Amino acid sequence: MKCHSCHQGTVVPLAKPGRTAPYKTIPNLPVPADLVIPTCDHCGEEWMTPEDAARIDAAMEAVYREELLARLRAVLPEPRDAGRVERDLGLSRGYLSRLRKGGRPPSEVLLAVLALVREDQGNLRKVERFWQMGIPYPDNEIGAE
Amino acid sequence: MKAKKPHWELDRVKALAAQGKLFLTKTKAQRFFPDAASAVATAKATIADLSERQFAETLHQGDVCDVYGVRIGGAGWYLKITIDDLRVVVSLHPLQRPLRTNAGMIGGASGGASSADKPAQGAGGDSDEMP
Repeated sequence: MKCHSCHQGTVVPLAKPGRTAPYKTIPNLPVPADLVIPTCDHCGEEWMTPEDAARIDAAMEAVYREELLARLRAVLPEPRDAGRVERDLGLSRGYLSRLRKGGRPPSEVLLAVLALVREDQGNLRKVERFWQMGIPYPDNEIGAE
Repeated sequence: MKAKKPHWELDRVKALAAQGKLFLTKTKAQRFFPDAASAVATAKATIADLSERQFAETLHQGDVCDVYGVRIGGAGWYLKITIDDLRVVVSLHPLQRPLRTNAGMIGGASGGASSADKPAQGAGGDSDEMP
């Protein structure tokens, strides 16, 4: 099929290493080298039919889950802090320990919060301050030290 | 003013899309959808609901393409379709400029509100960046 983007090339099946693509939360997830994606041989535009989309998502989802697990390992709190984090985030006791041992990634929301806490313990204090405040609260109250 | 008519018969477009005979730009879709299946599902649903009131213009840029302005999740989106090899070739992304359709102006990505006194960018408005 001709390329409807550049009107010069032909869309052909292509698998090659070194590609990345946005997928869910990650803007540059590596695309498996053996994943065939219809691609214009002139401008490089990628195309898909519904069948291609299902196949592409299945391959990308496997890479994405591995990426989430790698990020989880990087942002889990130290065991000594886990109980406090679990309490502040409303997680059951021992949940983070089970995550550490299990092979299933958590939600992106939890992963993002754990990343913020890991980056700066002050963010956990802000969460605690949020739970302590009454409603309504001033916009700038959460971050106030 | 007389309503503009699309080049591609809408019933034929809808029938092909309903059969899954779609060909989408992955490169553009992945900027606006979390995964490929969401892009395909949105394109399919959008085409199923399409009416000539949403038609904006026909472009001649290597292909004959019909442009529609549609609302998805409250925002204005640009839908461009052509038919090739018995498939509907689709480009779908948020509007970057207001677009004049048969039903009136539809706003761009900032959201907004449609307004007749905004400058109409219908002809070729987004065509330089669209397949």
